[in-house]
Amino acid sequence: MRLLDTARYAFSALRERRGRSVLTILGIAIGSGLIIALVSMGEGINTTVTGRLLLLGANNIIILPAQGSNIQFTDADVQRISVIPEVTAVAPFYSAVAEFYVGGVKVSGRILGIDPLQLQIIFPGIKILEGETPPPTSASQVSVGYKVAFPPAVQTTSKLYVGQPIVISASTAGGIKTGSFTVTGIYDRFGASLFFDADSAVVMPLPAARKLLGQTSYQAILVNTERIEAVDYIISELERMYGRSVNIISPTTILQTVRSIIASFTIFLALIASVSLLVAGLGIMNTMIMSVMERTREIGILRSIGMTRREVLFTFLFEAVLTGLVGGLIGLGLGTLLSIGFGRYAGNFLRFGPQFEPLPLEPAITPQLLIGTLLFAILVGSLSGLYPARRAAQVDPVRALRTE
Amino acid sequence: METNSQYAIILEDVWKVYRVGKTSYPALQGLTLRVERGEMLSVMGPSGSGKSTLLHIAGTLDRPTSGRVIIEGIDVSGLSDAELSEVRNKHIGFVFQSFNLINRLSAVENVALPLAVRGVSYEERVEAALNALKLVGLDGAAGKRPTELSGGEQQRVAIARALVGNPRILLADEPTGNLDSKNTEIIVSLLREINERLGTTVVIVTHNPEVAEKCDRLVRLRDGRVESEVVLHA
Repeated sequence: MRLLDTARYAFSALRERRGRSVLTILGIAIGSGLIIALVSMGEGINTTVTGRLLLLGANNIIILPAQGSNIQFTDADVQRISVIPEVTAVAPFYSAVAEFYVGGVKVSGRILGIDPLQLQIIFPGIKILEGETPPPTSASQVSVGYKVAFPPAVQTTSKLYVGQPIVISASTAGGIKTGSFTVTGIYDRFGASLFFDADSAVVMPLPAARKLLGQTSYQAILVNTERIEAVDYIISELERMYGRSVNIISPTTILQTVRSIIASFTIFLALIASVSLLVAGLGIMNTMIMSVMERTREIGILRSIGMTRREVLFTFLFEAVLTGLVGGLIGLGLGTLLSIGFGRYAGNFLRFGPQFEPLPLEPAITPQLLIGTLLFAILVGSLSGLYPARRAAQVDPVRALRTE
Repeated sequence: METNSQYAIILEDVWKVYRVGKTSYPALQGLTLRVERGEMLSVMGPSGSGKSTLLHIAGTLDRPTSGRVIIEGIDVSGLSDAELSEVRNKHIGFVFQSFNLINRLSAVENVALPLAVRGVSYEERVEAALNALKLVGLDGAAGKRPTELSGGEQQRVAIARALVGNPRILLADEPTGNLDSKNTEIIVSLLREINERLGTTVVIVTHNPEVAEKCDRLVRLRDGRVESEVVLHA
């Protein structure tokens, strides 16, 4: 029998038991649809969260002198680090716990002494709400985070305004250092990155920080890369250059942990969905066994007109494969719709990052996922059909022709 | 393996013993029968005399417990399932008491099925099926389902299916058992016509003496052996 004729015959058999076939196919469609929806959602969450962590500085490395080391970071170090391959930016900075006094109100936070033009490395997308950033060379001007300007604990009748003086008391190893500066700008709400809280920080140009803290060398250096995969390599290069005289802080371990948690969660979801597909396979097996029993006489007829046992087996197996194939194909559509719909909806529950906006959740529906799921559905179909088809092949034609 | 023999079917000392649990039922007990090519033979006998078993073994649907079976010169005793299936598909057409058509297929699809199994292309087998339906006078009912046809018509479709592959042998197991006398008449005439016009060897198992009368020879079975035989038309 030709393959096309076998297919035609199998199709006519499935059509004869329409209701049952539809339900069986639906089982497979739901199973494979679930796999696609859940896996693509998991992948989507992974991408989104990774992206968000990147935004929060997961692609930044901080290098600072180790305890007891007398290394002094200078512009020469900035230069050396910036030629390491994959390094896209190097920003020397100062940071210290500080208290700010604005018009008689005390606010606690941190100062961040950095070239204001490089602030975007730490806080990508941070925006000025009022005023402007101070020039990089200024030793007397600063810009402030949202919560410094609008302290949440205070009724903001006496809010900070651009041009106002601010007194800063920074805690350093050499005691409390105090100085007065002029506010040139206020940043919009941003939230926290992995290293700094932008909203409670005062951003000072490097000369201003140097003046306040009385230091000549840089306190630490921020190393930025665009490719998160390059972080490990850069760390190894930094270790080679500085040995034990520095501490290197990198959030990749956090990122890797988060990603592996999401990955195992995705695998867990995929396993659950696979179980539902396997259960649907039991459905195929069940209907096929019933079908073989009901069609015993038909099997006898087929054998009497010269069909071999193998051909009988193949004919019945084909019905199961066809069920898996059609169910799988419907499942592809169903899963795609599900994950798109779910992605749109679930984004609202996954808020974090700046201003707690809903996360744009883009389900990752890859060709590999679709093809893999379809093949899985066909595999489930054929495995479920194997036993009933073997039973059909083993039917004794003489006895089969006698059944009513 | 194929020899030029004057016999379409040779059964030699054929035994068939069915075992159910520890009990054995001998259906055929050393039956020997030769059917000549082009002969129209009827087989009669009481229930349990082995008529159907004979037909199944001659049709290679069943294997004998012992003895030799030669179909169209082919000794089928040692053949595999696939080889036996091929013998059935090429050389043998079956007609059953209960028609045994597949209800979801139209008449022409039913008739064409043996050719589909043989691997014949769609166009070719539909043409052959329509010709076979014409031979049994049902070319007008090609598109109808078996359930839309009368019993007599269904049996004619079944005969068309048995003939479509140009087999040398037609085996009919009580083909008129479910039909009234008028349709019995039609079916038997049709089988006779096929036998005479196409030279097909026909073996009919029947309870109906009127059917047996139309055949060349009548064989009576009892207890799995040939009890007697009568030549009716030479």
